[in-house]
Amino acid sequence: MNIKIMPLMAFFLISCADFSTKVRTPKVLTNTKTFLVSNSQTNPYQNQVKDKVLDLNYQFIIKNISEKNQYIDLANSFLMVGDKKYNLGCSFFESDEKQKSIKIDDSIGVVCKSKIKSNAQNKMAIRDTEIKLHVSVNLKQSLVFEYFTFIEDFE
Amino acid sequence: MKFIISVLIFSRIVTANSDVAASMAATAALTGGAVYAINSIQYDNWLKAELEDWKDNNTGMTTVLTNKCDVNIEARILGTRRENAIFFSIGNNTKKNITIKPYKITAEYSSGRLRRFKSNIATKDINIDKDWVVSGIFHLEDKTEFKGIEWIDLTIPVLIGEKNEACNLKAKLKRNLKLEQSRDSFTRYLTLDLAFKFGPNISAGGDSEKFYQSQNNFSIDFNMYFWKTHGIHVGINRGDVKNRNTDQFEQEINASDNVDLSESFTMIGYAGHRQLSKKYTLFWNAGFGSYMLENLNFDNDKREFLDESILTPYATLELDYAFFRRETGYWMGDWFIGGALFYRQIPSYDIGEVEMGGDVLSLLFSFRMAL
Repeated sequence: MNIKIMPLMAFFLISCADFSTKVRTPKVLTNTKTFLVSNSQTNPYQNQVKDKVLDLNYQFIIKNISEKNQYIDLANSFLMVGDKKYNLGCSFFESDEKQKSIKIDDSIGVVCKSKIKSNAQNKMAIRDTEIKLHVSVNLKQSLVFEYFTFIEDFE
Repeated sequence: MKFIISVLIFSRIVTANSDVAASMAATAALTGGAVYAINSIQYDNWLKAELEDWKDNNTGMTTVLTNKCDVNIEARILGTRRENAIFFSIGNNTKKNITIKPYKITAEYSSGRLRRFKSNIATKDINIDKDWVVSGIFHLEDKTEFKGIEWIDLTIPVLIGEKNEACNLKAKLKRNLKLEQSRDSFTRYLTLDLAFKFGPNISAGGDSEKFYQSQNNFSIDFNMYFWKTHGIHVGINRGDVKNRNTDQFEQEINASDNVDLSESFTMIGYAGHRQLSKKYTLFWNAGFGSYMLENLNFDNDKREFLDESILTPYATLELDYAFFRRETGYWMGDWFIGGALFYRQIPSYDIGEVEMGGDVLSLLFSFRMAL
């Protein structure tokens, strides 16, 4: 074996390192009159796309900044990919419940999950397709988180 | 990781030249180390590094949210192997631009310490236009100060609008007291290190005692710590064997002025370390290496392998003193000097009537750079 093979070997090692494609989410830090909301950004890496299936695990935190206890109902949440509507399963972090009351100044974590296969209708396989999470906090109010597909091997 | 190890082993099997084997092992290790180092300091990884014992049971995060003067603040506590940091997001919901002076942000620990965030550059004001959110990471000094603390009070002074109306935002990060404090949240681990060592053999067994006791050594060791304080060691040891005290040996190899002996030992094995105090760290490694003794004749430029063997055991125990430590900038890292006891077993082989080889112990002076 010749010493000239070293750069090739180094290149081969780097090429074989563990790189994978991930979808990232923009930072959300916003408030309504009632809630202060932030997304975790630790978990966008779980929104992996394998075999053209978006495996979405979204996590965020809600703080009650109103002057009274708030009843939260996550049951009516849904997901939009372009103009197509999909189910979005949301529950509280520490339990699988969808309804809960949170006290003044208390914070609570919310986890939303969905698995969507790319097809010609939802255009999810096209770069820059908008994905919107509509998370219901009660019958009248929803929080909306949005991002775009941008990963190369998705195309 | 498995791939890197297999390449290192493969490099030994297919080659008959010790220099090339050593170079390949070092190249593979350094390349793997570089990939690992890049991955370990990527910004992306930071947000995944929330301290487990600071995560709230209700949210699953270390996040604390606060809202005052129409400015939203999110703070999170993060930690890597080497340091802890605070992640900030600041959202401007006022109708005016706001300014934050980073050097005025303070973190008061429950232990009573008051800290500002470290910066190795001239710190500029952070200007946030209305309706914008900015995020960033502020690094904290000395991770070991986290031992035993239960909360951190953050104070973030904000200046609003052209009149610089002052508003002090406060956020309290709390450790989850229902959990035992994790050692990882206050222990400073090394990621990788490179050591240069030089010194004589101090003990040798068998008939070759005199020969090996006249020998000096030069070693390069490279360690990557994948599992907290445990990792992989790759090293090269070169022995100077020009001093030929054994007559039979000289006769056997037809030594002359134009003949040079070269001994090399390429090592791969386990590496570990333990920080005994802020200044002293104990390092150790053990594994198997390939030993090679070559006779290079300069007259005809030919190499002659007098002895070679693989799977030869070695071990090192080393005590180092950290004489220089810097968290950021060009000279970032821990710099050590120390002393090492280096044991290796040289395989038996006969030169004339003399049986060479045996257990050899070296005392080496070490200079180590660690990240």
